[in-house]
Amino acid sequence: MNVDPSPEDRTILAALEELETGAGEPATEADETLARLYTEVLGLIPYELEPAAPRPELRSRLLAAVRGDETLPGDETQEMEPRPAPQARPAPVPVPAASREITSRELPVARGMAMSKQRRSVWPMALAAALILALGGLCGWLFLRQARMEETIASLET
Amino acid sequence: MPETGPLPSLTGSPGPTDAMLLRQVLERRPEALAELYDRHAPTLLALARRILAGTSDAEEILQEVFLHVWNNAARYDAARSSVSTWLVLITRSRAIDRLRNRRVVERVHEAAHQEDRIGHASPEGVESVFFRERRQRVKSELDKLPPEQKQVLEMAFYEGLSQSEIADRAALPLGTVKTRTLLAMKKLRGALRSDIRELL
Repeated sequence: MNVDPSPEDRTILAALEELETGAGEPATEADETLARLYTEVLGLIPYELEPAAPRPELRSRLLAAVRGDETLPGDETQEMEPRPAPQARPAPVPVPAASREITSRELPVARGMAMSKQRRSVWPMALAAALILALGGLCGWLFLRQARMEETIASLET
Repeated sequence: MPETGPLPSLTGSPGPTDAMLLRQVLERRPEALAELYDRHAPTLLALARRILAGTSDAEEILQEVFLHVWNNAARYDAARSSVSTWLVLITRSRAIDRLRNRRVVERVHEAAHQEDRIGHASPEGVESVFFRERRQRVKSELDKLPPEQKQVLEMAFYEGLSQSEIADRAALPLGTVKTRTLLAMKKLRGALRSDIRELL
């Protein structure tokens, strides 16, 4: 189209575009009337098609669904449209204690348990080591003392 | 909610208008939804099938549309469209969304041709005299359009293509596509005057 489109042409193209975007507000009452006319033209197009009978169970299913809902208010919060079935959550797999990630909720307790375990395993070892060192020192001191005493006895004998 | 014009029931006898039924849907009356379903489901299913070329998907869309109506009847704006056009546009939009999600546009063309060969399930009695006459008028007027105009209109309506996408696909200048679309829409508006008046 080489010339500027007329208001009617713009309305038609806007009506077609609105099919895709859902947007578009007519500016004036005349525009609104024209837009309405062309919207109805579009709404008539599928009437050219041979009608198709839905399976009867489709109607029953639909009515069963709405009959279960008829006491509820018809607002946006009452969404009944089919949604994909929620996927079943996989059963939690037991994780070995060593590799299990500690969550923040259980962290203080776990840390306390780990620290007390640490205290139990270190102190006896440290005590034993200290005892061994002390015994070793005592043995060394007694050995030196004995050696010195033997030297003294030997010198007195000579 | 203003009236959208008298609409006979399936039997041809005058019944509540679509707008009346939609008001009853707002009052949570399932029988009103059932009546709307009986009136419009065959056309809406045909539309969803035309777009998706798959029966089970199309029926799923149909069910979604009527559940949407049940949940969102208050959203209907009588100033913008008739109830039947509102239903058509919801169905079209959902079917095209489904189509885009699957990215099977090419496969759909193939399947659509296959479906044409198989034929549509359209048992007698599914269509009221009123709708049958409307269908004949709309089909006849669409068939009167030059093929190139009908083609761009169908690509826009059933495939959800923008004017630029149609130009790309048909290897035509954008201006030509727009001109063809505008001519087709104006011709239909003139030719379907009486149907449009009934919807206003």
